[in-house]
Order: sequence, then C-alpha cells, then structure tokens
Amino acid sequence: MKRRTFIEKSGYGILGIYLTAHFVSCSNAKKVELNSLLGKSCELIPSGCTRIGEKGLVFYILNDSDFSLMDIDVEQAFVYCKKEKITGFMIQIENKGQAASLLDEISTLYEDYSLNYENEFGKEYEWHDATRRIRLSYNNSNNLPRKIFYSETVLNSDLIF
Amino acid sequence: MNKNNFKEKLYSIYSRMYCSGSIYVNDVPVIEHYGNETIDGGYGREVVINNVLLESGIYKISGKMFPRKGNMTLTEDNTMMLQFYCADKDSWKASRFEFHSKIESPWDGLSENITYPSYEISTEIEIELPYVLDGWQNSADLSKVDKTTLFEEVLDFYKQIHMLLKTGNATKFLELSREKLNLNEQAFYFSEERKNNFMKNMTALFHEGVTVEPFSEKELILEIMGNGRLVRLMKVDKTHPLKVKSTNTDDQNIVEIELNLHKRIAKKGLSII
Repeated sequence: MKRRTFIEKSGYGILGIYLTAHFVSCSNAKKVELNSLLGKSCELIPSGCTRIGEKGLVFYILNDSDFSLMDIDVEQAFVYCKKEKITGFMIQIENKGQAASLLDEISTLYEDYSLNYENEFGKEYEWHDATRRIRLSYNNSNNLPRKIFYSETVLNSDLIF
Repeated sequence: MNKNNFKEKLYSIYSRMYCSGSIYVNDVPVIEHYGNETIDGGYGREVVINNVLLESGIYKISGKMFPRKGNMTLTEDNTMMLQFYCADKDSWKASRFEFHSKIESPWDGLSENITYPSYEISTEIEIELPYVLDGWQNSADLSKVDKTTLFEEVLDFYKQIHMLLKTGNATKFLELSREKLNLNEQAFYFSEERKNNFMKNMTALFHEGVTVEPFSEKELILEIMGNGRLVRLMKVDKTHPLKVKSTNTDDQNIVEIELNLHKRIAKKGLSII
C-alpha cells in the first residue's frame, strides 16, 4: 500500500516536473510497468528490445515507448535477466536539483530506508519491501554528470547497482 | 644507505624488456607489456609495488617473457632485466638505492639459434614494512570454487561495472572502489595531495569527453591470482576487457580499467580490491 502511495505522490509531486504530454500515453496497454516485472519471466520484455550479453547476466534496453515507471519521463530503462528471470532494472534521470526533495518525499513514505553511503561524489539511499530492494543514488559533484539513478532488484540478488 | 632509517619505505621494480612479458610479485601481476607496443623497440618502466606487499616478508619475483606480437618464439634478441629499489617516500631521489641484485635473462649469445615459447626469470626479495594490510590475505580461496561458476560470477560483475561506467554512475563506482582506495592510501602513504589526484583521475573517467568501449564476452580468460584470493578477467590478447577512450585529444587514447576482485566472505559477492 505504501508503495502505491509512493508512486502516486512522487508521480504527481516532485517527479511531476518530468510529466510531459507523453504522460497521457502511459496507459498504453502495450507498455510494460517496469516494477511489475521483477521475478517474472524475461519473455515479458517487449520483443525487439536490444539485448546485451550472451550468457549469465544479460540486460535489455527498453525505450520509453516500451515501458512506464511512476510516470517518470525517462528515455531508457535497463532491465536485467538471469536464468530467464527478470532480476532487476535501473533507470537514470537528469538531476536538475530535485534529488534532495525527492528523497525527502520518499522518506515520508517508507519507514525503513537507510543511507547506504555518502562519498565525495554523491549519496545512495536504500529501502526494501517484502520482495524487492530499492535504491536511489545521485551524483552531486560539480565535476560530474548530474544524474539520479533509480533501481529495483529482487531481494538477495547479486546485482550491485 | 640504511633502509632501516626510512620512515615510509617505497619498494619498486625497474623493468627493461625487449619482448612481451609480465612481472609478478608472488603471483600478482604488477607490470604487463603486450600488444602493438611490443612489435619493435624496448620497454622501460619503474613501478612502485607497495600495493601488493601487504606486510613484511619474503616475496617471489617472477619475470615471464613472451615473444613480441607477431612472433611465435623468443630468440637471443629478446631480453628482460629487473632491478629492485627501495626509497624513503619523502626523499625519493636522494634515498633511492638498489636493495637487491638485479636479475636478467641469460642470453649473451650463449643460446644463439635456440628458440623458446616463453622464459621465466625469478628471485626472492626481502621486504620490511611499517604496516600490515589485510588486503586479500584473509579473503576466500577462490581456487577451490568451480571454475565455470566462478567465471560466470566474475563475468556478471564485469558487465555491471561496464554498465556503471556507461551510465556515468560515478558515485557507485567510487564506493565499489573504496577498498582499493583505502589499500592504496595505506600502502603508498597517500598525502592529501595524492588523495586529491586519485579523485581527479576517478572523476576524469566520467568526463563528457570519455566514452566507454563496448564490452565483449568473447575471448575472455579467468585468472586466479594472489594464492587463490584474487580473480580477474583478461582478453586472450592479454589486455584488460574494460576500456575507456578519451575523445578530447587527437590521439584518442584508450585506457584499460584494471580490476582485481576478491571475496571477503565466501558466500558474499565479489568486490574490487
């Protein structure tokens, strides 16, 4: 339930600045909802997506016409598969200064979040629900590309992002 | 020169090669010279090896000679020589001295017309350090892990590091490099200036003018080193599989990303050291 609330609040709140006309088409039945894919078969990944990797961990690049996630306007998503199961995905967003506000908002929705680390380049936060690990990190150094990274992975996966 | 008076000892190997080759400290490579640069001419470079000397003791040094690129065998024209130096960090030039006799390949015309697929020279050096670093000394012994399983696990790790570089996730990459950074800080007695330089180099990896080369799963070899405690992937041409290219300069230099991985605990995941 909290997750649903997060999606709605963040979608219409802080992340609302990313809403575009494209939002209207997010109900397109052909789009897959990224966070509904975890743990499921890789066959659910839209056909025609670029696949990178031959064995072991492989990942697919989904373009914005293929997926939706929290109504965020993102150009690409990277979906990871291992042994024919979807084990995680990651998106990147241009950081226009909204990272701190976004984290504040998320922290009001999830009780058990934690700061994984803070280093010279940025920070990473993490929280869990019953089945997944969620991470949000961002670069905040002036000398680096300003990016926010959001990922969800199945619990206990070996994924490092 | 009495190295016992040195406050912060730095040990180095000066290598000269007229061939392809690798220099190992115990079984950890510290110098590798392969590819187009070996086609002609010679190679000379001094490398400080403190980051693989985790504590005082006796270390085996091996120089492994291979034919130049394009050749099948070594001949009397191919040579290798290694010299061993110790210096005090704060007075490098003034204090640097040869603490161990040099070793070199035996060809002085004696083996003319004899060819070798490879050749190894070796010696043992005695090291005295003011520190003991955990490094990979107490890490899991990966030589006992099924090689197919380990290869796949290491390959998965490389793919993810490639993705971090590709997407510009500098924060994560720095955090994953923290163990290596800490080790280097202690082993090389990093000053604040050196730490800043390290961070600058790390930042440069993610500069707009740097592009990440594609990662290929083909022609990769799993190498287990450090008495089974370290592992990495190498291409069959003995280059590192992760590469970035600077597009800001005319020469478009390709830089290889060197990764050594270990497992602090057998059942946990790999990490960079």
